[in-house]
Amino acid sequence: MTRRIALGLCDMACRLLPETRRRWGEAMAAELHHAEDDRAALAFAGGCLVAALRIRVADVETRFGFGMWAIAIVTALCALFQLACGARGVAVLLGAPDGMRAALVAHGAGPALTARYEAARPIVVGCFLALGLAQLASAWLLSQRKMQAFAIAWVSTLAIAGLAVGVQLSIIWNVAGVPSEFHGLLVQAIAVPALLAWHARQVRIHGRAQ
Amino acid sequence: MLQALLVRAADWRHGYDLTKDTGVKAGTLYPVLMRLADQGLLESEWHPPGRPGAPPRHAYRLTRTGLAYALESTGAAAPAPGRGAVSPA
Repeated sequence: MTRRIALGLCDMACRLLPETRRRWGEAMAAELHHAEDDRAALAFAGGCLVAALRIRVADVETRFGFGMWAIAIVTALCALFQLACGARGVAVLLGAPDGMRAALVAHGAGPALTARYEAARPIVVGCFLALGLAQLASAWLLSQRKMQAFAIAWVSTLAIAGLAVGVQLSIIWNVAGVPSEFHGLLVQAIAVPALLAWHARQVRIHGRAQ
Repeated sequence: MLQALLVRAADWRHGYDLTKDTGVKAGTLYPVLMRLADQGLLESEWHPPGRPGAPPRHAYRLTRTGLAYALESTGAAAPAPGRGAVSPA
């Protein structure tokens, strides 16, 4: 039983190692057969698992992947927020109470302003939905490390966000709060190039096959 | 670790034996071996198993550069007497 646990731990260590280190995993597993007893084999296998964890954590590609996934998750959360706004807008278009319109009227908006708001409402709602979908696509492309396609999605998202903000500002010139459409894009614009630069520097220093 | 590899430097050594000889656990030993190999200080090759049914073993020894580096490093660290006996490579 102990020997089987040791074999399992060693197998786990092999799987945990990055692709470039698999040969070392086989080397560790082979050594297990030379442990003098089950107890020694278990201790050795535990050490192999620790070694694999250390190598995995220090692996540049793994860290890069974690970074990409972290940005992708933040992007996806921004996308969900935009989609929620879009869904709320669709509900309003279908007859649900419009809190924004009520707020405008409460703040003394005249018939011309409310008419402008109502005319632009479908475009703004469409922009929010398109923004959410484009952000979701960006998140997926980041997680897949498809950087060229991500760049296209990012530019598209920027254009949609620009249109949404432009339409909103054409109704009421109130800059405060409007640029929230750009928050996700700003995070990506800073974090993705920084991560790519870090990765390129690490690969240059250590080489791909660590 | 370098001192352990300097002892009988011409001989091929195995991971499990190195853990026993040095008292260093596998969790520390293998990352060090990998780093030494990456830097060209350690060479490795697969050896046929000593007993039937066992898989081939991965064996290690210092390269010429590794040997020079180890001698310099352990010399600088003033190794204990009796250690660092180097067999002719």
